[in-house]
Amino acid sequence: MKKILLLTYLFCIALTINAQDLVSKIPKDAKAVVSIKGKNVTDLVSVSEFENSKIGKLFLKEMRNETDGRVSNLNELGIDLNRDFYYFMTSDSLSLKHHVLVPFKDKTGFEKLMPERQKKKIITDGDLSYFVDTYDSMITMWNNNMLLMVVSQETYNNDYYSYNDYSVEEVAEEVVLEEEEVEVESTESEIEVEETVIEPSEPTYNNDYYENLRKDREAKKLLADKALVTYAKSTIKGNHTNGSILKNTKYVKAIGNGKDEAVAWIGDFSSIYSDMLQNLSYGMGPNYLGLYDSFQSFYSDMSLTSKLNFEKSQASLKTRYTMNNDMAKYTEAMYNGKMNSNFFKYFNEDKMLGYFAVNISTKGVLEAYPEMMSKMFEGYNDDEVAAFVPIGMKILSLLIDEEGAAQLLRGDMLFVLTEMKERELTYTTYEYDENYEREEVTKTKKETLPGFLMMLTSSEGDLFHKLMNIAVKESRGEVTLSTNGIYQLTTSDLPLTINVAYKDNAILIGSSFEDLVAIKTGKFNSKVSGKHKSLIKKNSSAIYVNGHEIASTFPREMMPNAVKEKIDFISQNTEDVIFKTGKIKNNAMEGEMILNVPEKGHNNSLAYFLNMINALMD
Amino acid sequence: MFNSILAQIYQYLTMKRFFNFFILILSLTLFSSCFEILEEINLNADGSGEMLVTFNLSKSKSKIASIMLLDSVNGYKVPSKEDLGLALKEAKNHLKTIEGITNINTTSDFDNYIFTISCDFSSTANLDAVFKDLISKHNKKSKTKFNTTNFSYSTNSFKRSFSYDESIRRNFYKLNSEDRKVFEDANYTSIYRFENDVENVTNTNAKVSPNKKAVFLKVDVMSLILGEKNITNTIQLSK
Repeated sequence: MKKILLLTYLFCIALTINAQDLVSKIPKDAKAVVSIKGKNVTDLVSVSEFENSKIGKLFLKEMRNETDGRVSNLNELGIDLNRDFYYFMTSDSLSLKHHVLVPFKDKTGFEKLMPERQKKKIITDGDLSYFVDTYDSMITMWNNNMLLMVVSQETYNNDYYSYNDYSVEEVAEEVVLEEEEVEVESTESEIEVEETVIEPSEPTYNNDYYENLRKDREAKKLLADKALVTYAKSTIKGNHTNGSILKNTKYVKAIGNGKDEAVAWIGDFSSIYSDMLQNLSYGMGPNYLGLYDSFQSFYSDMSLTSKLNFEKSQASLKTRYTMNNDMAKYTEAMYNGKMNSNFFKYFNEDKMLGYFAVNISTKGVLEAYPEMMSKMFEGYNDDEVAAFVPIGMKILSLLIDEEGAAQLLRGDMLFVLTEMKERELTYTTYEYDENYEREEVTKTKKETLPGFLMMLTSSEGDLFHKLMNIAVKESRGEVTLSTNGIYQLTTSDLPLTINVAYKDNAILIGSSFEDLVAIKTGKFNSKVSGKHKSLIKKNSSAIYVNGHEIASTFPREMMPNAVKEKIDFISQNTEDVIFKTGKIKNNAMEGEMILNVPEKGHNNSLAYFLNMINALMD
Repeated sequence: MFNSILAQIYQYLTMKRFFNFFILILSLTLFSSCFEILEEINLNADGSGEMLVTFNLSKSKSKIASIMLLDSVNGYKVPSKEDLGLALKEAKNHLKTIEGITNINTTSDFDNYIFTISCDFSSTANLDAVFKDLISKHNKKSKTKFNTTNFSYSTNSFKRSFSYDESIRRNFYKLNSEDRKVFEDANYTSIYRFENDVENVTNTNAKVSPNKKAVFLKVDVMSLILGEKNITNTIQLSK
């Protein structure tokens, strides 16, 4: 029943996608696909809204200049902005191919973009037009419906000069030099010069050899160009042996309902790496020294999907990284950290500017790492490496006390930008007596500084105090201990005094002495909402930036008026930004970047970006 | 494996980026980036004397300490303490090669970011020789017209020259607005002390001490850059 439901779901999705044509040009075995949903984007910001924005005007101005006025607006480009755009990559053991698909409503717009000399290179074949850039192995092909651009990148080439090619006899070298000199003197009659002037005393088999090599390469290039043209024609017609990417269930499942503005998908890392290894291993096969086996054990069944969305009140980029069982096992162990709940008692979100939380398990990392290294090298064809790496890792594992190391630092860490605070600073300047003899004086001034508090879990309180007491004794006054049990580090290398304390299995390092005293004595007025607790606890890492708070508390008194106005605008139009990486679930790890935007004054989060650029562009 | 290493490098970079972001906020909030340059000359009646130049960045010390935790700011590499020490050492070595310059001393105070360089000179021509080559090369390369004679002394008249060149303003406006702010609160002060009495001075911004033995001139660096004020001054001394 579950399977039937899944199949029905996939079929419905495929139907939805089928209605949007260019995807059918992508073969089933494409290794990576990026799609941009034109309609979704133009629904959020219309073409005219873009054209009337500052950045749009700048873009149009550049386009007019580049085309000598032949194209003056987006409509004249002939691109159908309401359809979908695609990039996809295919690879085999010989090459990587990058493709771009652009939907057209009228090809003449695109042709207008080209300068006259470029137009002369266009070849027409029925409704198809194309030109080939031999040097870059690139073809641009279009009809009235679409444009296809293909760049072919060789990963395996046995046509390089070898060492032996250069071990020519001296006579031959002289001949080549002579030939070059003559060519420089008389470029107009190259062929005649080659035939009449060069008279080497020995038979010039090496000269012929190079000439043959050149001809051979040119012939191969010509064949490659022809193959590229045939390939592009086949792609533009959607003639794929195994059908289109819509028959790839992994892809269809990964892209979901197709409502995202843009989706990037990489289907199988191991197969890309295998194809690329051809090149890295100098053509000695993808499994040179067992490299592919190592990659296979880590990268098989690994895929990545990124989705970009612009919603009413937030823009988000969500990335899902799926991995195989082995990799998931190691990664899960490493990221299976536990955040210390006591941390939430030590800061107040009303004043907070942002934070950075890391939730790693020190024990998990120390246990998984040697295992991963051993596994990676066990298939290595070099016997010594294959034998010694696992032994080395085993010894390392025996030497390191994972439990002990985790007692010292458990792996969870929270760094909070606590607040903007005004403080008094001293500085040295000069005063002069009536005869202008100078006197060095110390004055004070006020500066607004952001404060911070860093929290790390450690069960080794005794060790912490012993180490800090050594620092107090040995630091020549740079580290001091106050009666409240707070250690203070003051050095000219740091712009502020750092305070360090230990409380309830946590090392606390912060800029505010008063806050640490309050925390130590249990009098700190903390406040952390469920939203932030969940963000910090449930993810392996999280970054939160309170853009509004930073912008609104930014010290304005010293700023020029123009900067003040911009900061005020940012302050009124900025919410917060969140980056988070989740924990491993069902062999997948999810990361997300969310930019929350104010709903007032902006139609949606994409329009928000345009409005911000409009306001901040000089 | 590589993925895991990459993930950890990413974590590290994210962490580093976050700390850099914190330091950047720190340095941005310390908006006042002022410095003062102090040029002092004690001139003897025979034209010899001693000179002390002080660069005082103490008022911006928090900002400088923050910036020095970063590798680069606004695309410029941030010099380390070692780099600054080396620059002072090179300046000292250069002075040693100039005839008539003796008793060269440098000091650096990294708690307050105050740097000094001092020397004795036999005549004001020795002081000119310090920068003569550099100025000549710059004039040739950038087609500027800076004077190579900045100090002169003859028949009880001491002259401090400075020829403004339009290239100063041009180069200033080539800087981005953030970099220009560095000069907004900066000052240049010169104090010249003499054995004989000062009879008069040509620079209207200069002040003569009541005992007539010293001349004081303080100019904001922005006025110098924009050519609104000049430090050129001819000081006439009694015989």
